[in-house]
Amino acid sequence: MFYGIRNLSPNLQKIPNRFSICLLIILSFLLLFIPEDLSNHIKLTAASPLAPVQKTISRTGNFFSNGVHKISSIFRSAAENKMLKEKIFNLQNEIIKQQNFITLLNQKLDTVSKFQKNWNKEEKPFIANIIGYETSNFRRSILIDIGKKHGVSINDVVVFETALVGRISAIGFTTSRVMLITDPASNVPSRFLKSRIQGIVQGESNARCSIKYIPRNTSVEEGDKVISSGIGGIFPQSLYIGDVVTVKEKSAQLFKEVTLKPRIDVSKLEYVLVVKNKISDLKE
Amino acid sequence: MPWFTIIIVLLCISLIQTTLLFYISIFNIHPDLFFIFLVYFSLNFDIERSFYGNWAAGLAKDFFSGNLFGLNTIMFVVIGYLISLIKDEIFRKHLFTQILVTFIVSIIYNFVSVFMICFSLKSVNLLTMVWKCPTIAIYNALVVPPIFWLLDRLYSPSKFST
Repeated sequence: MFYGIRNLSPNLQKIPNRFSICLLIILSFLLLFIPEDLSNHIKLTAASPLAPVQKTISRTGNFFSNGVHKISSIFRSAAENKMLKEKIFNLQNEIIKQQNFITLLNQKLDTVSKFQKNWNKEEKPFIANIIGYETSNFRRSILIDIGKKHGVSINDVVVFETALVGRISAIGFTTSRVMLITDPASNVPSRFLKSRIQGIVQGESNARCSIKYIPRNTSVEEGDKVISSGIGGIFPQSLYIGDVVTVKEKSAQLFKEVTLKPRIDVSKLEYVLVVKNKISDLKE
Repeated sequence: MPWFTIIIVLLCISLIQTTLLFYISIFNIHPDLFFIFLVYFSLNFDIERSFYGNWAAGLAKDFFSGNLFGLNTIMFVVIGYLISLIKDEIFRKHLFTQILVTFIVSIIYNFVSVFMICFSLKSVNLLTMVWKCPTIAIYNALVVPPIFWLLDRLYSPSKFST
């Protein structure tokens, strides 16, 4: 068939090419109108055959990255060692002071944890390996190696230890995309640990987040810790989000400009924990 | 087997872009290999061939991005077409030209991307993202020499029937 086409006049030869170009352009525009759920499903399904290779490359990358970090840390360790020894001496004194207090607290905690065990009996977090990162410089997400098959659903919360990493934004059969708290589309209801003032933590597509709607008359200082407030029901309360890095006040603005450094640096993580979200369970 | 090579190269780019490039990011910015592929393809091949290559590269980028699906596909086709229009007017084989074209077009592409993101996500602050555009463009331009050299080893325009 193609041999036949080559023998035709140049204008006629162009027809199948023009047709396929037009078809692809139309198809590209149609892609924009695909519903988000379906497009996420298509994306993750199309990308899933590469997941095992991504996993292997990520592990190798992590291995070498950790090696480089270790080598660089050797040079810093001598000075750090001296400083840490002094710190340890002071902390040892502090520990003795706190021991009595801790014994009392332990008794209380024991009671709470028994309650927690009974209450959360079936809910165990999933451990997921990070297998890929975002291709766009303006968004922040990661790809993990668990999906619908493992019982994960959209809006499930992703944590590392007790610090917030993000939430599941798209789900495939064996892989899922996690929208990090540093993504510009991420909004996390939060509060300051000390002052209990509430705000919304928003991503800025770089290594920092900002916390919005903090009134001017409130006191916020550098180093203040920010946790999730639990409002809205997606993120459980008391998850560590980050520390305040800068606080700015402009005369014409109602709110302060507060910048956070997230507790978790995703570039240093190899795995995360996925916690089932009650709202996503209810929707299902 | 040129098309086979293109697909393999795009697969390799997808894998490297989603895994290893994260480790060489500076200020959370990493070079965009898909985009460099687009510039290379548009500068070196005829308009039709580059259309298909750029379309495939845009689609591959969309598959691995959390952005609006299809956005990169369209932008890659448009940008590729614009580069194809000017490629005969410039000395496209010179490394400086290649770096300059990558830098300028990268700025335009990233500005459009930022505006699209700000348009689709109401909460995004434009100013916090705009400063990234020149930085990404510089980073992209810096990695042009090794990437173009590698792609030159793989492809030769004469291999393609036009």
